[in-house]
Amino acid sequence: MERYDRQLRLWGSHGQKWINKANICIVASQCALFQEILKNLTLTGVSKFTWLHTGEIDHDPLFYKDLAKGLTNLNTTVVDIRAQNIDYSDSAFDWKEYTTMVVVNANNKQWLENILKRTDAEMPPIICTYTKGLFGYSYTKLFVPHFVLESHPEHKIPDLGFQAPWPELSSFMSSFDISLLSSLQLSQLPYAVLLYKMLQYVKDQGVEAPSNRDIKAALNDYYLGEVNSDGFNDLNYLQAQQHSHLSTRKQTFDDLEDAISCNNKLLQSNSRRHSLMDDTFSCLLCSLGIYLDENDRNLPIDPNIPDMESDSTIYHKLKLIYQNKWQEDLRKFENIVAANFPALYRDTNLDIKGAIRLFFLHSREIKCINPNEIRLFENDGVSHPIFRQLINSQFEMGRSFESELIERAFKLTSYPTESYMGGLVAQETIKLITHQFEPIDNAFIYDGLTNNAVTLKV
Amino acid sequence: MARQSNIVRIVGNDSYEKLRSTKCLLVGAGGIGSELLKDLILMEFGEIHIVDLDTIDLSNLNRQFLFRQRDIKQPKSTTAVKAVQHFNNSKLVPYQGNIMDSTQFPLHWFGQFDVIFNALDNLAARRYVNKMSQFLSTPLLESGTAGFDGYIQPIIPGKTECFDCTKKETPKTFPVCTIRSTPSQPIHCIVWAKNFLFNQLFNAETNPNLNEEDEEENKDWGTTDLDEINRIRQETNELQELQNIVVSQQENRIHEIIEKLFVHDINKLLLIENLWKTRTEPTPLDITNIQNVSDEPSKKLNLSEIWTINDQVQQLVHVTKKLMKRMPKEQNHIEFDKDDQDTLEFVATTANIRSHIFNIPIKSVFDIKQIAGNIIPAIATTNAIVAGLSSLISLRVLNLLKYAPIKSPTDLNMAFTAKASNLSTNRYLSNPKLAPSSCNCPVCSKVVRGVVSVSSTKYASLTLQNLVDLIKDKYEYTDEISVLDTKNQRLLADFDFDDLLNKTLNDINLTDGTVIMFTDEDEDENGLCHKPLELYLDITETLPTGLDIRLPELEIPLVKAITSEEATAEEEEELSVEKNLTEENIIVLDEEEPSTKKRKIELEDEQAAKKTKSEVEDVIELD
Ligand SMILES: [Zn+2]
Repeated sequence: MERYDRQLRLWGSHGQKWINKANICIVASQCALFQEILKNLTLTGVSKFTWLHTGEIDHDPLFYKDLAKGLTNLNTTVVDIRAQNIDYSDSAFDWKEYTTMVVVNANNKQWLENILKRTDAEMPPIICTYTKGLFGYSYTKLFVPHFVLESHPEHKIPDLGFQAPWPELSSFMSSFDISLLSSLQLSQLPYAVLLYKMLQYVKDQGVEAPSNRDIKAALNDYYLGEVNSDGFNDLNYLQAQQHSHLSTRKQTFDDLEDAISCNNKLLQSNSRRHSLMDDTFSCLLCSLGIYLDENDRNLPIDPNIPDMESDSTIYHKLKLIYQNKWQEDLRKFENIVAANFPALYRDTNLDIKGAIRLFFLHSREIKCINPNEIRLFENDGVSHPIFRQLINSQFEMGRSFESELIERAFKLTSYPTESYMGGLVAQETIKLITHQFEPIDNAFIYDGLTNNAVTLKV
Repeated sequence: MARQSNIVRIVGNDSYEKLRSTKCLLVGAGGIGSELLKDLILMEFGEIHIVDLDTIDLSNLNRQFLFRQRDIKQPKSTTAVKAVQHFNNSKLVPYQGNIMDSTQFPLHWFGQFDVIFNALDNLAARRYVNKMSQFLSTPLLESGTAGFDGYIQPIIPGKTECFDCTKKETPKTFPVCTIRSTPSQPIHCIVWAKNFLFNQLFNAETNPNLNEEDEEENKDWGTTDLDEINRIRQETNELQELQNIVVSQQENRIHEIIEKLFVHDINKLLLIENLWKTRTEPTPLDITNIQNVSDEPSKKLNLSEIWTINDQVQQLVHVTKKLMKRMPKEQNHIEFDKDDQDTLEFVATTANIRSHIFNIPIKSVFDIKQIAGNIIPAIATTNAIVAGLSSLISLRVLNLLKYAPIKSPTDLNMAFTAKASNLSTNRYLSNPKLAPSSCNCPVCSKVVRGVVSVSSTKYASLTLQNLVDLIKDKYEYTDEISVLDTKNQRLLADFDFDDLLNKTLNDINLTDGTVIMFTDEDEDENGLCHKPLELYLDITETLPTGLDIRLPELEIPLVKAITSEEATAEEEEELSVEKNLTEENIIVLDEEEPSTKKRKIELEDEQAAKKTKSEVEDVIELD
């Protein structure tokens, strides 16, 4: 694992495990873009490929004379590339065994159109990519919803769980008799305590759901007015002001609810992909739905509360209360999985307890990306001029360039474009394999003339 | 040859000739470097010189695709050049060395290149190469990655922002007392273990007494409690005794070290009641933990898991023995290295035991490695993306894309890439235009830079007075100028100090590579004077015949004179920043790689704010 140390820090050893198990099908000629994608995936740890060779010999510069041999050294295990010529008329080809498919610079429009328009749920996600001159695109086609289990949002909003306080939290909070504390002792309370007490005060006055602005004023009235008039400069009070919105924040999790109901539909109709990973996550998502049903649709508590200015003993106690509650929630969840999916729970092929723990820990980050209708080849399907031009050029559907400049930039070959798009397509493939980080939904266009890029939905 | 005709198609016949005669310097043959080397070769640049100091490490192999398992411990630069031979059509020159070594890489060596590509992993070297590019007016393509994030920035000296025009994040520092007496976060314990304890025990050159006195003056104790300061001092002295145990390899006394650190020192801390009024008191390590340590080699522990406190102590004893045995072989001087498993485990276990004592969550060795080693995540895909961006923009910087010429350098773009495919702001890649040089930048704006080349015969007899006269004459200074050696801010001459003027440059230690600063002290009637001038002293044999000294052709603009007070204030500010950057004291957490991330995010946000509206219109929703 030392070899992968620097990337484990992005997606963890569980993410790496799925990468090492992945089986990727690439449809391509021996072109520079294909070579770049293959190199990047192999470096990252993918070692099983099927290469459906589309025949044409590309004149783009290549850095491997013998691809399979050149790549073998890039991985810890032997890289297994099963190469065969593509049979465009083979409708019985078994796509479902692949984790993801990548179609590079394809020029058989009819074939690609047929593949993309398939409706069988067992189809793996397909990333189509094409580069020409200084331009390139990638387009991701999903046949069933794709669940992102760890979307790694850049900003996480802490959840204090005040909407549904549990007995340990309530009794911890009521252990402080505010009226008996000195102003020094008051200044050493974590802001969570101030906010909790303030909420009680507001409720006693008959206000059920104060707005964000009201809550700031209420904190003022309560704390400075009733409790500690000298406390306006105390760090804990200032933090309470800053984070007052957390006290009434109703965490919304539409993405998660969406994912759960989506998954339940798929389970009922059984129109879904079957693989160790898909099956595992499907069971866990379903179990999470049951968990929410049984818990008033309250999300599991967030075990990591933010730092707070405070007496460290008090803060430590508070932290433990959240961590213990989370452990308790986790046990509940585990029991649900065990009761509803006993076969999965006993499966020794995967570290199921670890998987349950990670899934539960990141449950707030779950997202569901829905499949998209393919409009790529229809006349009004794509209106972005460079995207349109790329598709026309790819399938030789005539051309009408916006300007002479773009026309010239289209006729060139540019290795940097291949390098760029090769990195991007491999990165999107990794997102799909690991079910971590949100993939592009669904098209990406690169313009090397201005170093500009857009994502759009077709 | 198919490849060549393709390249001609990229750039056209004229430009192809130019491309083939272009000399590139590639600094760094690591993640971005490997990718850039491949791209530059496949673009058919004529000549590529590759400099890298490092040797290949196992953890490089997930992205540095030119290297193999069998190459581990080999120099990166030469190995990279060997690995590309089968597809190479350019002249390649590898160097193993530190780019900041002015003996191996003097300024005139930099002068042979048409363009410089930075593919570096540290702030100091980035700044250094930036400075060289400013002295020579050579375009520089700066780049970096961290995980999914990456950026490129073309730097056209004199025209666009340089690397130092924007403040870079400096390493985090902590007050002494947080580290030594009142840690409250895992990082505090890790810094204690790595920057303080490890050095005290395994680096026999560290004389605790000397260190303390040296730093006494400007130390940020973070407390005014005299009891506490005295305790910290005394504790440091007592560590000398522990070092003696290590140096004399008394394995049977390892338990004494552990007892001293985790029982006795904690008990002494507890005596300072002031500290614990608003903090949880630490709990000294249970002595039975130490007594129960068995002599058997420890069981195989999983580095990604959190070990029990017993396992921590057991493993600490085990690894301390190993380190003791290494001491004589390594001249009683072992340095912490995140890739040296013994040193890493020593730091991880001692940090964790300390965390346990202070009620701080303990961490896995894997996580501590990231914090202690300041490991920046890295993947192949981002490197490929950034190298693609950097190599493509170089064609525009060198004006080789004739059909798309740049009217002004500020028409060029920099670029940031990130994982986020956030549809609402539509950012996968943002590409702000380059900004002009910042008027406050100490590197590119506040001074005029150039190179003074001197033949070695001329140098032997050249006095400071000679040089000053030549400069006054060339750049039309009226009278008073002061002269400073920028290496150590040593004053060489000014209006009331002329003792050194008749000495030769060699006499006063102004050698090859010295940067000398000339300041105009004479305001004209409008309160204007010449902008300060920094000249790089280049002793060379390559001057045209008949010429033994050459001053650069520079326009030195007149600027408003700064009063001496302003100057001092600014200098002090700069000095304190410099100090934070270089000082190897125990409270500085040094960096593996500079974080340009903060700036990136700022820029991105700014960019996003500006673009959100226009870009949203680009999103075409058809469903
Ligand atoms: Zn600058």
